[in-house]
Amino acid sequence: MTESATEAIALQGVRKTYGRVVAVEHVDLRVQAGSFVGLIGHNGAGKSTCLKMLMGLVHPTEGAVRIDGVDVNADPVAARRRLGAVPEEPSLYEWLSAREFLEFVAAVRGEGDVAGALEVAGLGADAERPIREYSQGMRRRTALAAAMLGKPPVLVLDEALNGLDPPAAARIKELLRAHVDDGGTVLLSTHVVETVERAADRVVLLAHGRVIGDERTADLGAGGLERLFVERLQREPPPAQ
Amino acid sequence: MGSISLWIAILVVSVLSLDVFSRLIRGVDRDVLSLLPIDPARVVRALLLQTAVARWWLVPCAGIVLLPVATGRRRAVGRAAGARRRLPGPRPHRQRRRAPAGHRGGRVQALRPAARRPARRNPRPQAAFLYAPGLLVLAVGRSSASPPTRCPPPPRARSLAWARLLSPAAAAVAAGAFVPGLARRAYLRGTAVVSEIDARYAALEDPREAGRVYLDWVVRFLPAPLRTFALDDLRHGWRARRSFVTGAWLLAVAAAAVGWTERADGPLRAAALAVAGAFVVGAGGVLLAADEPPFLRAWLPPRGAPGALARAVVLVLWGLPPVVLGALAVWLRVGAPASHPVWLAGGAALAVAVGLSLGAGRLRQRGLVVYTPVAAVVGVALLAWTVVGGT
Repeated sequence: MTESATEAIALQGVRKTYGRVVAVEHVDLRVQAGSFVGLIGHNGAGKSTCLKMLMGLVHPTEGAVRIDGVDVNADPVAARRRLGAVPEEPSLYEWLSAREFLEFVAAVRGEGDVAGALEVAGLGADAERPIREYSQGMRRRTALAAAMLGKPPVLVLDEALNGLDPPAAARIKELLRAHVDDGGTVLLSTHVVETVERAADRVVLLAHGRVIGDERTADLGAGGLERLFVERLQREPPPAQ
Repeated sequence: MGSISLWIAILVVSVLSLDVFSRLIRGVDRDVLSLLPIDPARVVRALLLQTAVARWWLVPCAGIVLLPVATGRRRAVGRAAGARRRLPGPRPHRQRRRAPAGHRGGRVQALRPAARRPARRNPRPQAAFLYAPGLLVLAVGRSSASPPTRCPPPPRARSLAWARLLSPAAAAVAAGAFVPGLARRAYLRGTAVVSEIDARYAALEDPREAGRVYLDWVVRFLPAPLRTFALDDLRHGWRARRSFVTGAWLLAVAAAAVGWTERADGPLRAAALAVAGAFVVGAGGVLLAADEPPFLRAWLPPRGAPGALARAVVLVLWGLPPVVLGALAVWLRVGAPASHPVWLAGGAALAVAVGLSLGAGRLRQRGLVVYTPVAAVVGVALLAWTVVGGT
């Protein structure tokens, strides 16, 4: 099997501009299947833009984006079959209950254990209430449950643990870990350093739209990620726009 | 009179285009479904059917409105022909204006540079999203406009007219064959284009402006008991029912355009658009009452008389542009007396539409069922009264 065949996520020479504003500047990121990668960056570093390009919500100005070997822009439906995604602000059908919404997603994906997903997301007691009555954390858990339904091989999560209480966040991290242990791939974007340090195998640092670091978390000592991030950030001044 | 049917046809197509645009391009479904491995062809077909089911009544309603026009067509054509004979002698630009194919072709030619200019500032797919409904309206208008005839149509022409009337349905069925392919190619990619448009607007947007809505400055001139309710309606209307407000402005521009003429039927056509604008805004008022957020009903004091008065003020403010612009165009071009029918018909329509809207709004979800037929009948009656008064 070639190396590219095991690449679950690939951003190749990706650049994204909005008029004169450069959001992402020639990012190369390859994630092998069976890895848990954390994407760390300050606000406006380009994390969400990278993840939106992986989700097919934004087209790159230059470069290619692949999920499990499938070009996201050339074959969007096939790419989405391999991808479970939670954007920063998940959109849900507000008038449906969590159970109805997950049943709908399972029907679209053609598979999925709705009862199990409700249970692991901790929504069992509120499964019949309309989503519009949910708190921010419950909405996020619903979106996570929907992303994981049908066990897509690649999970891309943008600030997915924000707004979750500590037990719920710990539970989700366990689920993501189990997904990786089963051969799946997780790319989690966050600005909370501890989350990545504890859960991920590898961390990619992003600043001003560029990759400024790519390290194995096992090689970092306690508190090492924060120190590394600050050091690299000081070495990389913002580009003149 | 034929031009009234053209304008109503354009209005119907505009409403349908906006509706399809809101459901297909800007609807909540896109936000939810863009992350899932959907079959875009089935999604697009379902959304188009949804629009058809929700808006089927527009076509028969337009038919009801046009019924008096259809029955009085022969007499109206004769009158229009007489009016044309009364115009001063042939002038080059008037000749050009009356030549149907050349005139309409000329207008399309004239629009091309204007269409190219904004398209240059947008990537091509964005330009397609933004201008496709407008081009559709233009195409329908162009195909519907026919040169006026002075004699009753022969039976063969009548059957041709039926064929033309049914042609949109045939075109829709034929277009249905292309929907799956187009949807598979474009629906999911459209999400990226929409986000690109939003990102560009967000980059241009001043955050202080984000909370402001159309006409909210008026609130400071209102009596204190009305202010909260008026601001609530202005915000709710602008954010949830903006198409009615912008629709009134489109009709205002159209009223000014048709009123800016020396043709005898110019004031009548401007009046028709002013009346239409008033009732469009009234329909918006009914929907404001129907979809008012429940938390606002709990949070604000009971609306009562101040709430009704505030809504009436807001509806009048939204409905004034078609009346004022239409009448001003006639006034400046022809003279003050010619503009009186526009002021009278538009003002009366606005008063009736506001009253009807407040009454029907009390029925919440069923309000539009009562409002629409009554508005159609009153609108036609007002126009008939304007015609009788004008002759």
